Formats: sequence, C-alpha cells, structure tokens
Amino acid sequence: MGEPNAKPADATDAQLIARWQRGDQRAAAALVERHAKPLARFAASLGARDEVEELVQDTFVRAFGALETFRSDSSLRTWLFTICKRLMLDRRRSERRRRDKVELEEEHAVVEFDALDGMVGDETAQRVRDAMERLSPLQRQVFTLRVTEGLPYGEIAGLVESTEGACRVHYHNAIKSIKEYLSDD
Amino acid sequence: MTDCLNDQMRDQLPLLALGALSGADEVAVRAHVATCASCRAELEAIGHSRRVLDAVAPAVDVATIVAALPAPHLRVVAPDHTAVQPKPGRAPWMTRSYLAAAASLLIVASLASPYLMRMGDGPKGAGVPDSSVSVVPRGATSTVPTATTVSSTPAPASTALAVDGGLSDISDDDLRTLLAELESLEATIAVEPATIRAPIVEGSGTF
Repeated sequence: MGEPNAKPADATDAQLIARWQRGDQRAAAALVERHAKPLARFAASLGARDEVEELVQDTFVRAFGALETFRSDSSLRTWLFTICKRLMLDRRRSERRRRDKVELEEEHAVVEFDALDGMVGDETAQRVRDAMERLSPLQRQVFTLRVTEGLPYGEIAGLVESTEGACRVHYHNAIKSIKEYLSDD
Repeated sequence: MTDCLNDQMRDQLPLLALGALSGADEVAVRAHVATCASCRAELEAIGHSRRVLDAVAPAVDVATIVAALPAPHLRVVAPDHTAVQPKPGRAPWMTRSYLAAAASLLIVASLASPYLMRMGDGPKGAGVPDSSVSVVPRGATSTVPTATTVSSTPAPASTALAVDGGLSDISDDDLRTLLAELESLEATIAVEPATIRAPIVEGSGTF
C-alpha cells in the first residue's frame, strides 16, 4: 500500500475505504468519483435505461453500508459490479412479479438494450449500436467489461457467473460481430 | 478478412486500447498490430465500441450519491506508538471482577482488624493462653471472661467480639458469631470506576 496520506485522487481504493471508515467524507466522494462512470457503463450493458443513475446510486449506498464485509480478494470495482448486477436482477424480478413480464432472459433482453436511442452518432457509431443491440446480454456484458474495464476473463467469469473459457468465446463472438457490422458496405 | 490466429495478441488488444499494458507488452502488441490488418481492424472496432459505451452511460451526480451514503461505522484510530491495546487474554469483565474481589477483601480485612487488634491488647498473663476467646456484649464492663466462661447461648446480633490470640484458635461458635457480625454490616465501594472516554476520531465531520 502506498502513502496513507496521499491525496484522494492518488490514494488506492483500500486507503480511501480506511479513511472513510474513520469519518472522512472526502474519501467517499473520491471513491464515488472513481467508480461511478464504469458502474454506469456496466448498468447500461445490463439493459438498464432510465434507471441507470438510480441503480448506480443504490449500488453505492448498498456497498458503503456493507464495506465492513468487503474483502480484497477482488477489486472494489468488481465488487461494485456484482452488487449492481444483483440489484438489477432484483429489480427485474420485482417488475416481473408486478407485471408478469419476463426479464433479462436472452431472447427478451435483446430489445431492452435501447439505451443508445437518441444518441447522436455518425454512421460508424450507428453500426456499432446496431451490432450491440444484436448481441446477447451475456455477450454484451462480457464485451463491455473487457473493452471498457480491461478485466481479465477469470474476473469477468465470476461476475457473469460463467466460465473463463466461455467468456473468452463470448468476447470473440461479440467483437467479430461488431467488426462485420463495421465492414458492411 | 480472416481473423488473426494469434489469440495471445488479440486478447491484449482491449488492454492496448485502454493503455493498460506494461512497457514491454505494449511494444510487442504494437509491433504485431503494425503487421496484422485483422488486428488493426479489431483495435479500431474496440475504439468505436468504447466511445459508444461511454456515450450510453449517463453522467451521474457524485454529490447526490455521496449525500445518500450511510454514515461509516467509525473506527478507533490511534497512532501506533500510543495505541491502546487490551491485555491479551483478559476481558474487561474479568478486570472488573478482580477489582471487586480485591475491594471486598480490603473491606473484610478492615472490618476484622479491630478484633484482631483487640486480640493483641487482651491480657496475656501466664494463666491466659493466647488461644482464649472472649465474647463481650457492647457496653459491658471490663471484666473479660475467658474462654472457659463463654456462655453457650448464641450471642445477640449486637454482640461485640473480643478476640485474643490468633484466628486459627477461634472456636466454631465464636467464628460463626464473628461472621454473623460481619455479614450484618453493609459494605459499599467508595471509589467509582474511571469513566471511559469516547475515542478521538480522525477527520470526523470534515468534508
């Protein structure tokens, strides 16, 4: 671990957690600042739409309420992703109970990834969007975690409850599909 | 275009795009990309995808989230050289028990001491063995009967005791009387335990 009194931006997650546990609210702000955007990306890859911001906030609230239980076996970010995914599934289950709708299952969730609606984009971006809409949720999650976070396949496998080999295949299928969309004339 | 068969290099492309490769790895992957059209196209696709995924994620208000966070369970913080560590193997309740026991012993000893003192003050003539014990009602005259004159009737609660000689020589009856006298006394601990102050926490309440 580095300098314990490092500036929040330079401090490690573990140092910031320790500071927050001693009552330093600036450390909490630094942690949220650091992980909010990746969490939002991940939430969007799960199919969250208007609820991304709320989901991210709930994730942080839940995580900070249980930081005592956080073990450094995985990174804080991966732990946050896990909480976020569980919250998302809980929401989908609640919605399903209320409206008798099916959620997050592959054939249904494909059409839920319309978070890109209204996104201003050039033709290339539109093609990427089209390609992503056709990915399965699992492919999309694996691809997002690999491309935006650079997580190793083993860590991704733990998050999406799959195997490392399967995640590698999901990633390669996803990138192949996107490449094909981009190369279509 | 056929996919590159070098899976090891392909796996590194997202990390190259993120700038997460170490020096030697980055040089090797860049060298490969320079000679592989498929990996160049893949690297380009990864870059486009990242931009799209960044655009998908809405901006989040950090201040709002921080305001919603629960308060931390504050931990005691003390510099290492001044850290207060509990003694190993001794729980606080044990310490309190030891203190209570010690206080009780002191009280008993202080209550018993006048009787022991009076033992030493009694007549120690040749005809009076040290082991003699006398029981004298309060306010009685100076006549101190010897052990041979002790009445067989139980002494009243107000009975004062005069003990001559060592405690080991007290008869059973006299010992019972002495204990009854001690039990009739109410003992209180005069010293309150020290107040445990709330620990000082670092950076509390600051933002």
